[in-house]
Amino acid sequence: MTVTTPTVRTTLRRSLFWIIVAAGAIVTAVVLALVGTAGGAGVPLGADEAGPDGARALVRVLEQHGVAVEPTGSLDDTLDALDDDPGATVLAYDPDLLLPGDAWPGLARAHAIVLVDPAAAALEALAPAIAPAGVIDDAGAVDGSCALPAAQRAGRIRAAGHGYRIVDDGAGATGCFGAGDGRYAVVQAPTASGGTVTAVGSPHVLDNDGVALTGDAALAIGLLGADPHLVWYLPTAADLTGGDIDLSDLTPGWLSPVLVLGLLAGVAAALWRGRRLGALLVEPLPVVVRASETMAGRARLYARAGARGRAADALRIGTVGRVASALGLPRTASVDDVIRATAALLDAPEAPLRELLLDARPATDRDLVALSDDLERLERRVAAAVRPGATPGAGRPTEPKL
Amino acid sequence: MAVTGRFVALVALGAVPLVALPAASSWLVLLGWLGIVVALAALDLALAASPRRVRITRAVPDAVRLGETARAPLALVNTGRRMLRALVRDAWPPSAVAAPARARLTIPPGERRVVETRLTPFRRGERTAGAVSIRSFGPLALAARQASIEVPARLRVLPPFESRKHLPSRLARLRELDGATPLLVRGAGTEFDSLRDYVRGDDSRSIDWRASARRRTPDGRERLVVRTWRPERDRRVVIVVDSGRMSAARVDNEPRLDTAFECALLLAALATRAGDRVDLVVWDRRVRGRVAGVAGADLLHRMVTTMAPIEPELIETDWRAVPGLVRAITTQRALVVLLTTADAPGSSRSLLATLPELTMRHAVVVATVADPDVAAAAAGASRVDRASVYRAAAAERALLDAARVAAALRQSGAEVVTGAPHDLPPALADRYLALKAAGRL
Repeated sequence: MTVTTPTVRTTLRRSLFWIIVAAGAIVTAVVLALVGTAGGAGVPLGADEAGPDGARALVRVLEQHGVAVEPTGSLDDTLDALDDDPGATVLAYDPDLLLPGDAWPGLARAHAIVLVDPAAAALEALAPAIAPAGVIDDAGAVDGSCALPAAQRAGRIRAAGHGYRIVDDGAGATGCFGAGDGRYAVVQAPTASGGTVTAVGSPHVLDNDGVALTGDAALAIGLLGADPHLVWYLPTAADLTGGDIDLSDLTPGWLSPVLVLGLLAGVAAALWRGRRLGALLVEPLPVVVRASETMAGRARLYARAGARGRAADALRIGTVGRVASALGLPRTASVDDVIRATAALLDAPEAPLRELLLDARPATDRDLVALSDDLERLERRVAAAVRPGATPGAGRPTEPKL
Repeated sequence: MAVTGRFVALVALGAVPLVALPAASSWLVLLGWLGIVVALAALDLALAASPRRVRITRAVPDAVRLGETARAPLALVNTGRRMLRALVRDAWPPSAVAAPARARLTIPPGERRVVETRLTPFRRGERTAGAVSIRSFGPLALAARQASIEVPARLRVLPPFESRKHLPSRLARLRELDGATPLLVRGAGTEFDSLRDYVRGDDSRSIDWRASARRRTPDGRERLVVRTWRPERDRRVVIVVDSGRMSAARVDNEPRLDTAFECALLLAALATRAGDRVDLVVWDRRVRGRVAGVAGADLLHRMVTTMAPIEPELIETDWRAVPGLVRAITTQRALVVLLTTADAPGSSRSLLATLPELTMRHAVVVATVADPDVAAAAAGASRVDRASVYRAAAAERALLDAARVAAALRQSGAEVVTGAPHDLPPALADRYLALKAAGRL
């Protein structure tokens, strides 16, 4: 009597190595997550994003030059910041069109607005003189030769992005980095309140990936560093109409905990049903082969190969043997002897018997089945003739066995 | 360690306070509930009796006949200090068909309980018991401790010897041969037994005239004396069972080897009553089992015990060594019974090559299991369509092959007995009686 289940202590000791490995892996992962410099959620042009899409490089440079950068995530915060410092520059970038069109005019009181990749609604609200003009797919740099000082300092920028067109010549808008056909990568227009609105078609001018190339940095700093205060506004879900209604407001507070509880109950049920009462017992099983397999296999071979001659011969041999023994012929009797004796017994001509027992070559499976039926009938007649008592009315009177 | 359905229900029951309590944070309620449940389960686990402190003894019989039920009681003594509430599994291989497979027990400290496991195996051979697993629940039945305890046990499943129902009728025939029956049937053996007075009905050919001449009754009348004969006694019967690949095939859902064992058992039972000495060898390429030099009542027991664990081997039988085997058992003339399969010229070639060596010295009987499926397939009534006609043709071919092999065996001087699995043992016994009556042993 020996206990084969290891105790908890033995199990722990045995798996100590793996426990240490798992603990080490968890600690390493936590440390890496805390120390790691990987960026956050990857918000494009995020003020503190270090990824290629972020704008941390530009923000840091601006801050080093004394520009106070204030990131905001909603229109309300932005307007509050503008209330505090009406002379601030506002950068607005809304690639996901989160800010509704009718909210844009609120920004109009800013001293200077830089719209990165603005949509039609934003331009309509803030700078009616500018309109979107499709895509500038030129990945190379375009020259900036215009009246805009920042653009002049930049010289060349990479302008791949959206282009803009000046639709109201009387408004005094300035287009820079023309891509031909009246399209510009950067357009500045004055606002009614004496400020400016600048539309920059490509966010790559500002992001970490592109700001160091060509004249992008010069343009960015020229546009954004003019004022000591910069509001860095990236609209979020908070700006959506009705954005203050969350899914959690619509469901009761206990729903998520109950779902988690259901999950835990499921895990517990799996443990309950999955715990086996002792190890499985294995048993070698015998192979089951039926002895008639070889016969069945040979039958299928005959059928597939259409070996009608061979099959007919096998059936005939069986019939001849049984008829011979019924007639009391010796084992050594030839087929001819059997045919003669059968013909004499049945009082039938020999020729059809010879045809049946020797000569007929079944050409089709139908012939073979017919042959088999004939053989069977012959056997029955012989049996009836030899033992007339067995089947009443079966013909011939008794006679001694041949 | 294991948890119970009650534990799962308790976890799920946490939904009630979560929904009902208007708590500020449902998450705290959830954590609290889980804490309570886990603490209860831990308490339960701590209070459960140790399944390791159970002394287990098994009482398994040595052997059971196939088809019969053996009782294998499992006694558990709780040597711990706590009440043991347990689910016990007595593990046996599936073919041992243990019932009940699991039992619920409550054993107070120091007491003993017995689980009555009944085994009804459905296959011959040896069954080795697995471990006894005990799951010990705590008083709340939320969690359980579990341990498997190895208690070695082995049950030998013997061949069923169903053909023993044929034994009484064959023994009666044997007594007729012996002249020992009260019937007016002369002992029909060949060995001189005794002289006795002639009674009406005796064969006049057996009158011993010389003895009659000496015989005078006290009243001076002459009486005729006849000789009586009895069958030879103390002959050797050597049964060689072929456990090679051909014996693995099933006929009538029974391996040929099992049929061969039935034949061997019936023949041995009969021959040992007839006063002959029976030896058994199970052979393919090496000796799988041997019973030699055992006589009397012990013989059948030894035979079934030897046969029980033998399984067919998927190898070709080496017949060349069989004469040597027989010679090692006896140098006298003996009846050698080969229980094998001789139904195809290809697989019987090595048997046919060796047979003359045996028939030169011994009387040889080759017993073969015939497949009733083949005969049924060849029968006229089953020949109705294309597939069945081809099947009948193949069956006729198989019958022809078997007939040719049987003829070749007879030519080599052996007797051939064939029959379906249920007919072969009595047929072989009858052949043995016929040989004995003819004095050919």
